[in-house]
Amino acid sequence: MCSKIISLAACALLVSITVQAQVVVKGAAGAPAARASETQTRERVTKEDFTPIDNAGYECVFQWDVVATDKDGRKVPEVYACMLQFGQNGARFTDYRTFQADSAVFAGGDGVGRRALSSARGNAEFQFTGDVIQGYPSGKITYTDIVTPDYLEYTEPLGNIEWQLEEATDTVCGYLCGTATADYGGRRWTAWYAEEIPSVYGPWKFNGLPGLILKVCDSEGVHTMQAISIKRGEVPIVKPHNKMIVTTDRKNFVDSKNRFEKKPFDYISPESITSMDVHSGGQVFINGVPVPKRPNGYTPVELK
Amino acid sequence: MSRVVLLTLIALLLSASFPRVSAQDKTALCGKVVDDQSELLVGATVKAYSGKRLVAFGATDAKGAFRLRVAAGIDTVRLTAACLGFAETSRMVCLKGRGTTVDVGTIRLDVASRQLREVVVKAPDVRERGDTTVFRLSAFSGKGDVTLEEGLRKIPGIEIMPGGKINYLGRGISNFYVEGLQLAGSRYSRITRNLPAEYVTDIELIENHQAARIDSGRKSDDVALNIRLNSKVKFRPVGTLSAKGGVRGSDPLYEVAANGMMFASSFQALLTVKAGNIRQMALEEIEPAIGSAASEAEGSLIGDTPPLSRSRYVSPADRLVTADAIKGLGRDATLRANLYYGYSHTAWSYGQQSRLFDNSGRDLLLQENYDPTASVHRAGIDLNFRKDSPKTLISNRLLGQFDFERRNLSPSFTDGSSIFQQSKTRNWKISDELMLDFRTGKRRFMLIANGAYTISPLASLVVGEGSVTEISGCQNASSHRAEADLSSGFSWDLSWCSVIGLPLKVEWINEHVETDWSLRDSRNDLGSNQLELSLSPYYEFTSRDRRFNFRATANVEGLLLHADNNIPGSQADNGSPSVRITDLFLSPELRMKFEPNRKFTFTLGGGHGRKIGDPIEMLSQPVMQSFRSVVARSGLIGRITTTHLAVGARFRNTISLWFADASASLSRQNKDVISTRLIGEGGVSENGLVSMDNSSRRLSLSGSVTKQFREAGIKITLRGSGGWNSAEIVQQEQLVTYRTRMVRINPWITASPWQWVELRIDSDWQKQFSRYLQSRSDNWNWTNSIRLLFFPADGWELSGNLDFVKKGDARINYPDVALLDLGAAWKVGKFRITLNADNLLNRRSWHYTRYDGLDTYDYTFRLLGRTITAGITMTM
Repeated sequence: MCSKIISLAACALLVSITVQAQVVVKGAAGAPAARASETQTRERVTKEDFTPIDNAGYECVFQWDVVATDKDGRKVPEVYACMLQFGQNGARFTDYRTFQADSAVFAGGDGVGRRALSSARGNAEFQFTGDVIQGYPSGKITYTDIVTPDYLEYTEPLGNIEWQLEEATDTVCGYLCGTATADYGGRRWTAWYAEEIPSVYGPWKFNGLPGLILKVCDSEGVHTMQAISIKRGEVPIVKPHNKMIVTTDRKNFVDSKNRFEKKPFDYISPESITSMDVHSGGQVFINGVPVPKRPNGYTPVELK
Repeated sequence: MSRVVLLTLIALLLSASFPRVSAQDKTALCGKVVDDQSELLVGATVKAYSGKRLVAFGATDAKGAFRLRVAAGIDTVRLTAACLGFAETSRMVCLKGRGTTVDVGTIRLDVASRQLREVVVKAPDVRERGDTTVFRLSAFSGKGDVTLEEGLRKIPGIEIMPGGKINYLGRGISNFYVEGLQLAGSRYSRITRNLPAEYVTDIELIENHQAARIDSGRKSDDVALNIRLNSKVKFRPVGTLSAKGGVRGSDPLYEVAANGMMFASSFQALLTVKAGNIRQMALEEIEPAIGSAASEAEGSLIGDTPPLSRSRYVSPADRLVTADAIKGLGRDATLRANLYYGYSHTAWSYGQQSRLFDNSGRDLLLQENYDPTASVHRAGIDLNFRKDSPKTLISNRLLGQFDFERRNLSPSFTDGSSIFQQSKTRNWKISDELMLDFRTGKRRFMLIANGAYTISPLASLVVGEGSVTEISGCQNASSHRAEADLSSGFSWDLSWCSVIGLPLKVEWINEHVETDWSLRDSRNDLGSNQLELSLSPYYEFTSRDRRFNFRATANVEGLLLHADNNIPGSQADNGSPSVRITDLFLSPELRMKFEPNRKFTFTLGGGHGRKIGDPIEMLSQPVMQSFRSVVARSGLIGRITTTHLAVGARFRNTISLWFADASASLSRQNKDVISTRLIGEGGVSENGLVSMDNSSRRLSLSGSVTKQFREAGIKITLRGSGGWNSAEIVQQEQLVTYRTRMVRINPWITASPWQWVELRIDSDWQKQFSRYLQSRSDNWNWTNSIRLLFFPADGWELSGNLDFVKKGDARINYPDVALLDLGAAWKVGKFRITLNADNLLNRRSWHYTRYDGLDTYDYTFRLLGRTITAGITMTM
């Protein structure tokens, strides 16, 4: 492990000397341009860097509580803030700070505020690194996440979670919710959905219930996503362009992601590194792709 | 046998066919959903109900089509379709006799402007993030909490001490931050008492806090408090303005205050201006008084301070101006400036009965009345530049302060006679501290240079009989003190878990004190030089799981002290004392911390040290400290060795909201000098030291338990403490061992079971015991403060406060005292209008007993009379 880090660092040092001009900024050959949401901390981002999915619908902030297990085996609570934008044609679920940074483009910002927001996102203690688009392409879910030095993306059909409706009801975020259970990704999930909100979408990849999903938790209490606010949306639902994406399927993604997050620097092969730099706050970028900070280790959502 | 096989086969066939039959029995419902323009709608939800039961659901695909499967046996369903931005529509569909697939055709949805209810659900009340516990203030504070300090009282584990000091789980906080910036330094009460609670969203308690980032990751026993502000008050000037008026008896009362604040990401400022004579407010929000040798030599005419809120018995006239600002300079650097000026004039009144030990068998009884007054002017500046990065700490702090004090403590006696006593002191101090601390790899180097100069050009005490014109004694003193210290050191990370360090400190103090008592022509002219060298190697170990931390330090201290009291020859009875002390000693110290899990923390610490007494003991010529006290020091500088042991435990469960702490400390001091006291005619005492080995022991215990019942809005805290002390004194030329014990229980309850009512109960029961020779005495005191608040309508607040005191001892039955306050407040928009009536029953006296060594003092304090005030506050 140690030797691997040293070799990675040596590699990075060599690369930084030889291709200093290319580092991080839009790459030349062999260093493809980074994802709009990430690398444009140093560039001007425009609306053209996003694919529109739907008009501004509603914005629902989710608090995602994770009971992580740190390296000493202690249970450690982590709190993530995420945003579910949903409209008639689709939905996007991403980290709240990512949403803020992307929204700044549509709010008429000059890029400076967005840069600060991107920086704040990079320095956040807990950050959901995925980007889930439901209903794009039509009838599918597109999931993008970081597996440094790549962004992996896959699609799966919308509505492929087999929910069993339950009798229990509860109130979440002021809405009366029905409950449903399903097995997905190696965990047993319970969802609370509000029939009053006619939307099939929900947080993360959850969908397919007769009303917006406002709360989900797994049977072991490791992951709990709960809506804490709903308001009218102000910015359109978009998908960021990302030229660094490697397309894969769900199975390969889950395998790669879980292996990568377990030991990031064992996963990354030195040959694949063309640039490596460290931003303020200790955020490391390899080929312009951040290495997620996991102070308590990674707690996968999908086990298989 | 063949029959059995046949039956089994039939059963298997039947069972295998049932699911198919069941699946085939499901009826498919299909159709399309379009809008009023006949455009296909994607993602519309379609549900089928049988009665009120949802039996099937689905969503339209990219072609606007849906397909639901309804279980067999259902003849009719209610089919509903809905989509964001469209009105829900439903229709009844008959399934009976229509085959396995029923096409319901096209469902049209009309555009509707129906909006979803926009809701915001509150954030969690408490959350934990590593060593940080975050409390959402609004989840705990009540409607009647106006300032941040009032809100903080409701946070579990937090206690607000007199003077505004904040304790968390029994420890005082080490740092107070606003959005991560230390705006007001150690005098954070300027913020907690002036910042409206409504500006604050979160309270963060950071345990294992390290003030310097270079130390981050290392364990500590410090806890810091950081407040997070409402986004509405960031990046724009905010503040409060208030004005109050009223009467107390025939005296007019007033108070005006203005606070201006600005909280931006890299700049914060707080400006406060206050003036008034309703309550004392100036001195608690600025730095404490400067100590000086001249002040110490003369003592202070402070009078006694009882365990009663000063607002009950002190008439004040205060003025205060403070300005605090902090500016971020680049990424890690800040420049902080704090300026303050406070003026406080106070007057109060009490009667004192002193029972002074006399070995003749009868204690000496003295009775007198006092009307003390005190005027204090205090101003200062505190400038701090700090560059605090993970590898470097550069800090320079410049402090300047002056104090002017005038005190009057003139007693009158039962025979009608009186004595005039007045003291004046002027103290100036300037200091600068430079700190350089940097880390390279596993090594760390540190350099601290500190210089300070304190001057007291004049401290005077005038004592006369009857009035100012009949001065019969004047005691003057002056002093200056120059000190400089230089510390350097390095530490080295031996491994991931072990650190060794070697700090070295050199300290030099030069002090000069002159005293002159005109009545006896008694003069001292003391000069001293002190050089101290200390080497404090330490070893620190932190276990891999970071649950256990251990630090052992061996302080090797060397001291050179030279002090001469050049007493003018003719007046010196015992010559001009001179002393040279060279001393070298070892002071080991041990500290352990164990955190088995996130709920429990255990600490253990102990050590052995030696101190050399103060050179001020060389003031061998008598110095008058009051009309009844003269100190003639022996010219001996004693050695004091101290051995101490302390254990502590803390518990916190942020889920069930149980908080608890307990601590015990035991110390023993061995001295080679002992205090002496000789009480003469009229109770005049002469105090001093003589050479004699003696020892004192002290045991202190304290603990508290807090439980928060969130749903009922109840916080219950029970704090208990106890102390046992044994010491020796030579009084009336007799060696006497005296012991004192104290037990104190302090329940504190706040309850707001309904939104319209809040109850606060603050109770304090304490009992003191005094034992010496054959004398045994004790007394107890029970103080209750019960506050009831009603919120009958939005913005309205009615409050009642009852302070109830019971007291007793073996000798006297004291009457119970009850003090009643009533108040009303009305908040409308940015304004808050208040009307208060304090001490409505107009009670005028309060009793208190204090044991001091072998002496007992009984006090009767005169309380402030009925006070009516009305005020208005505007919060911007």
